Amino acid sequence: MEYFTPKSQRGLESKKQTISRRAFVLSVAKYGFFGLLISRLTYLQIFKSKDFKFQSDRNRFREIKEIPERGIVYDINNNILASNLQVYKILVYTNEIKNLDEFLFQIGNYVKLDILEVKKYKNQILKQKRTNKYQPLVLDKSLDWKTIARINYNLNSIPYIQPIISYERTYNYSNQFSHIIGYVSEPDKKDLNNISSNLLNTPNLKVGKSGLEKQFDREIAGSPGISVLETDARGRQLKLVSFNKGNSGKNIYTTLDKDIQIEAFKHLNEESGSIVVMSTDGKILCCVSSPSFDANQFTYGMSSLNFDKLNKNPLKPLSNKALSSLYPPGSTLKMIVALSALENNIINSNFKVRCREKVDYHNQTYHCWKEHGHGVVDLKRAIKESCDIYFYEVTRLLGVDRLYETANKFGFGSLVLDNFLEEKKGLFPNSKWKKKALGKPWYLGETIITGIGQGYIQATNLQICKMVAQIANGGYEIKPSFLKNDDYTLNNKIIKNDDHLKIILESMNAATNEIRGTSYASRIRKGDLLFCGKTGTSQVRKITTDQRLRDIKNKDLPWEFRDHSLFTGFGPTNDPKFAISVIIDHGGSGSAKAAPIASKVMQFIFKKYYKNQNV
Amino acid sequence: MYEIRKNIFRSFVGKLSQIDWLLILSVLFIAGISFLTLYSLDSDKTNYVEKHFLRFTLSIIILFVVASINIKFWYKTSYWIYALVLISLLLVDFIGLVSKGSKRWLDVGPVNLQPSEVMKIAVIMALAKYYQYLKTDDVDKPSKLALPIALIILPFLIVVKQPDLGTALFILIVSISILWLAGLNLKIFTFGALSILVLAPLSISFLKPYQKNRILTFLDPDKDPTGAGYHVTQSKIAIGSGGFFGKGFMEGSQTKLAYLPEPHTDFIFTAFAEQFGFVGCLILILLFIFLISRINKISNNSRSNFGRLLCFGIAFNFFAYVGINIGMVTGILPVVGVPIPIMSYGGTAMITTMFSLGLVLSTYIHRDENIL
Repeated sequence: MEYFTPKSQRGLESKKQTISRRAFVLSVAKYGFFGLLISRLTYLQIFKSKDFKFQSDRNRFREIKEIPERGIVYDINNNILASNLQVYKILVYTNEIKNLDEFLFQIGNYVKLDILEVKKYKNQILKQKRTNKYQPLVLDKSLDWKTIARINYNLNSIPYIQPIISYERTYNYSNQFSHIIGYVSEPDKKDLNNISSNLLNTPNLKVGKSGLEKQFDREIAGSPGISVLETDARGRQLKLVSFNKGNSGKNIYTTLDKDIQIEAFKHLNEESGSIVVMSTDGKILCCVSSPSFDANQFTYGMSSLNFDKLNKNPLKPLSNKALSSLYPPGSTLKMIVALSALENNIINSNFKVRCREKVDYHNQTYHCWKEHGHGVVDLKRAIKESCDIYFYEVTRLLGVDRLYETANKFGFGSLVLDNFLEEKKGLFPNSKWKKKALGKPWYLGETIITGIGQGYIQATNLQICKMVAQIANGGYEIKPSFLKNDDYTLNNKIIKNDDHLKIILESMNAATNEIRGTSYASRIRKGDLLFCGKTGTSQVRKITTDQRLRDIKNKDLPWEFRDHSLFTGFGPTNDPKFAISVIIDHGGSGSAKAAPIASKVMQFIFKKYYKNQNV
Repeated sequence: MYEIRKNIFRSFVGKLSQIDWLLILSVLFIAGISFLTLYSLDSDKTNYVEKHFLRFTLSIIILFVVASINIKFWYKTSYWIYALVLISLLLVDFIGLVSKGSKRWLDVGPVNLQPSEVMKIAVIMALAKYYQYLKTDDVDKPSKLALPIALIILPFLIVVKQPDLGTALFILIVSISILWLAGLNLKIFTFGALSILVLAPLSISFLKPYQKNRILTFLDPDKDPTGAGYHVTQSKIAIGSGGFFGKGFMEGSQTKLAYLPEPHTDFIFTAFAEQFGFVGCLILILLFIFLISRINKISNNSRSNFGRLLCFGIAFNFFAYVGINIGMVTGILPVVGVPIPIMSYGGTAMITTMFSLGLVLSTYIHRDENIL
């Protein structure tokens, strides 16, 4: 007992002091620690308070952006070309999920998921958690209304998700307009820099990737609705804190005519090529490229296999050939050469040249396409029968720099449209350009082949159509566009003398509607309304002497070496309202391939726009 | 019979009139803060504030009763109380209630008693009794150290086994503070501290995975913000977002929206800090400091070494509770499940705390009496 309760009284006073001394030391330590706690609180609540407030709000509020409806795209008669389909999707708040398998199991109670999908979503969720955890993930599964209603009803028991109503871009004519309207798809990094900032982090956002969708993306996109929900730590929604209604994107009223577009696409018949139709004051009614692709597939997610197929197709279905393929204009340039020579008083309408099939300049032989030659030809016949020898001589006299001036006025070498992603501006050469770009002087031989639209010249189908429209409208400059509300009044004249133009128009008329004209076979035979135009056969490769001697026919060559077939014209001849340009890639001669198609499309236009007349 | 009862009553009232009312006042303030915070946390389904109020009322009655009983009685019964608590600790092992993977509670009628919580005070009492008459020169003798070490190690091991490492360490720390006060040689402390440093990495291998996790998470809570570090991260967000003046009463979004685990028990300081900000926290901490310094003062004025050791021990116990809890919710200490006294919702802790304050007040009232 003595051991447990020692009774000795000695040393107790000193013990009291010991306790007091040690208690003091302990107290100092205690207050020191309290000081530490207070400084910690100072750090958290005063210095870092702002950061924590931000985090607290993010904890508390869940902001959901509702995707706005993209603007509807109309054709010239207010037919809908592109609209939006309402779809139901679910968002997954990946950063809040604690048990992924349990979560997917819960989702599986409402949405049927097969094993592959479960695996796919698991990976997607994990990826989102790693890369962008504060943004919800959109499950790429469209749900029906019934499922959404069930999920909404049971929202409290399946946290971390949010059903949303979203829109998917839908194209009514899935192939015909794919190039010109373009398509939408998920934004990449570059797109995210371009879109307006309030669209960032909108679930299921798609952006225009090509065509009008791309050009007018900012206008069409609209602004998202934003609802802010208060949620608890388990992701359950407590209440709607605020809601801002978004705005649909601006509708786009185009000048496209769906009927012409569909008809033209039909006649291209899956061949590689394009057709552009515009009114002579510049409204682009049809701009179709072939072969095409289904733009809706991009909206709903295209498999990489399908995309590969499109990408590797030698006929290049993804490219908009009317705007981005460049061709030597060939004989379709002859109107410009003639006009330039007339305007510069190099020749008059009576200027004649004898065509003996070939001609020599500086020991170099130049050929006409026609065997045995045309004989003596004047300007009208030279255009009508497309005599090359005549234009060699005219161009030689004219020179490339003066030709360049005229061609430039008619739009060669510069963009037709504003900010259209796919459009190329092509090239019209002159001596200065060559010196600068190639560092070499201009040779006469180059002038001569430029006169028949070969050589360095590169033009788009749209440029050729614009050129012919400006000839057909009496020499007024136009600014072609797809937008109905643009100004289409004619004002600037780009020719000096109307008589010069008259000769050209007469010659073109003769080329189609008079016997021996290059497109006589494609003339419109029925009705009162006629059309006319100029064929072109542009070489892709130089014809070697050997080939000429062996008389190798175009159709015997591999496809990619065959000539391009061109035709550009207008109608009706007595009062030109419509300009057309058709190019069939490697289609052979202009009269054989392009002209008949142009004729059919023009007949269709006459039937549609001249109902009261005998067509 | 009536006379005796009247006498008891008279002496009870007489004794209470000598009580340190400033101490009681600070306790009431802290309790008031607790009610306010619990009220803000209550939902339709919970009724923390009412239950806590009942417990507090019951406990304060216990406090007065304990205070009015002569310190001699507590001195005499110290070992018995210790033994009783030790037995109930052992009982937990056999008939205890399992919650969250560990056995800590005993089902005694209306409340679930947590003997390990009571042990914190019991061990102080036993050690204080032991050192009451031990000569200063004898304190360092190994033979005289055997009993106190046994008194400490026994409950420590039992509680570790529950497993409740937090409470076990707590008991250890509080006990060591008594050894310190009793005048144990500084060399022994230095030696002890060094051996802990050496043994700590070794002992980690004996820890349960969740315990290891807690330590790792404490070292880097942001590493796994939705997992084990979630509590600390969310707690820091809540405290920090409170700012200088707080978000206002009932405006604690973090705690209300259940971003915080158990905001009514271990994390009640967080809930308070979010609503009342730095100013509120400062007032609360000052209240605790005042309470502790009050106990220290009582301790210093006590004639008996038992009273002094007991009160200093209880003061340190208080400090350890508050310090560890706030340290833990602000992220400077690992989350070990230590409540904050008087504030945290929980029966045993409340009763134990008030019991210990009762002992302090008993020391105060009987400060001039000799133990024997």
